[in-house]
Amino acid sequence: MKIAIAKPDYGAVGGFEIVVQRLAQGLRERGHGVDLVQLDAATDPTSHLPVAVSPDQLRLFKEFFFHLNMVARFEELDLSGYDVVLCTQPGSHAVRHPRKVVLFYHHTRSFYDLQDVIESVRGHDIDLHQLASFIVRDVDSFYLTRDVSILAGSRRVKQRLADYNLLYDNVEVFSAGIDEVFLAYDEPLSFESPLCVSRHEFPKRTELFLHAMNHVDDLEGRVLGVGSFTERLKGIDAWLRLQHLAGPEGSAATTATCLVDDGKLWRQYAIHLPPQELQAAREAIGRRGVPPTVRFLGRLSQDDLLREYGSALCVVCPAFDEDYGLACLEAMACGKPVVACRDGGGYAELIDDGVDGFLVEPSGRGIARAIERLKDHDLARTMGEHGRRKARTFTWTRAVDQVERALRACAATRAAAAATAAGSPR
Amino acid sequence: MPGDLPPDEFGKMATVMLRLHADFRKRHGLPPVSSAWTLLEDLEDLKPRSALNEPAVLASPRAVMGPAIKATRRVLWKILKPVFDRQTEVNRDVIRALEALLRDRQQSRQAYHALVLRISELEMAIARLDGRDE
Repeated sequence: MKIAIAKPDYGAVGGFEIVVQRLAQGLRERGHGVDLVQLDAATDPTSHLPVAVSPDQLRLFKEFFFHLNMVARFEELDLSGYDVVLCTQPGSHAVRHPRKVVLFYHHTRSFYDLQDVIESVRGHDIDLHQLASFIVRDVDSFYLTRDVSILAGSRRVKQRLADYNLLYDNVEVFSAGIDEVFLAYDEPLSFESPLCVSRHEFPKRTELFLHAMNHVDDLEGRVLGVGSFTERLKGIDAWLRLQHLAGPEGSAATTATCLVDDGKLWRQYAIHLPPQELQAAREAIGRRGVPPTVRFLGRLSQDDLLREYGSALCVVCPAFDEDYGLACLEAMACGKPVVACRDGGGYAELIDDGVDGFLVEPSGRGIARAIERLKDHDLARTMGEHGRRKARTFTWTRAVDQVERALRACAATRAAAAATAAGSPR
Repeated sequence: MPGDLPPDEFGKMATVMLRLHADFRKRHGLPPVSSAWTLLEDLEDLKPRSALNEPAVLASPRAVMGPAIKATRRVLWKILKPVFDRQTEVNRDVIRALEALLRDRQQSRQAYHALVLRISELEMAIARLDGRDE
């Protein structure tokens, strides 16, 4: 088959980009012609809109205009030379082609499952945001119909398609694989620092891990990843440490400590604390010479990443309602227990609580309690072994099988339908 | 609300969003979706058109017969206007009824959605129980 994979190009390599790369590679190895058809996401987000949008309007509702523009751009593509199209992230569903399969990991979430959260934290004009959500959902529902085969990235994502698009029958849960390099990791394991693996964006909630490390004695946490929140997170880390140093917890003098409510921490403070306050906190911590509770590692090479996994006490994935959970599976493949939050979406699906990790309340203290339990290295090692066994079932061979099967079925069904239509009496 | 826009900016932004939506539906041959906003705009458009009080409408460009035609039209208009006014009222009532229907349909859709979810949960529960029995 000649296959086009349609995808917006965000100029970054995250979990989903890895999934797409591995699938393209796997399908090519099976003799298919695969082209990655990408549209640059950095292009003017109003380039294909038929209505003039002022810079102020664009600034206020950039995601809305970006979404509709991306839809218009994908709709314009001519992919008729391909036997079948694999659509991926939002916008690409609009490709005009009679045979397409959607590899679906998420909607444009601020207009769907994150709508309430976004409205509560960003200070958007709520009526307008609801209007934008109504329009985005109406536009998407034109493309995401019962006639399209959909591979949902997790059970959580399948549930969202049922909730928002009333799609059940044509949705199958897809399980991505893990790279062999993680499955084959057999270096001696040590159990040293808790490692947080998280892109630094809203609502990945890395700040909950920072908070947790103020409640764990004798261990320094490590934070892996980058994102638009990285510098802000460093400020929040200092701010949290200052709050924590205000006095022993629970004493009358610690009003400031009590302010660190975890719900507010990720919904309000992480976004709205003034930069000056965060900068002042960093300077104050520096002046006092307070030792760090976490170390920011940034983006790592694969070798360094494996080394970090190998020496981690456990891997913490604090994200809110994640679509999938690649980091969780990588950690499990390396024999490490994983700590995630009960409302962690895809992460929560992958962890058997108390067997290969812990599912905790979404708070710094909840995460800290799990880390404290895993200071028992025998427990950590046993849980890691359980995780490793589970991770081995997530192979790319199986994932490519699933996608290839869906693409073939789509091509065959549509071809049969076309043949029937052509042969039917008029 | 802290994020609320001033009314004029709000109106402009809503207009841009609705125009984009209307354009999308038109391009794909979908009927326009009525909303409180669009119905309000329709009503505003209808008001001047339904009043028919523009004097130029009754005038005739003919050189000789023009004034006579205009006078005849005025007389006719005087007779017919109450009928048109009544029709205008009826039209507005119809639009209001449509608005009410729209609200009702929206509520029904939400109720239907909730029902579908509940049924899905029950089906899953039954499937689990069936699995256990086997």
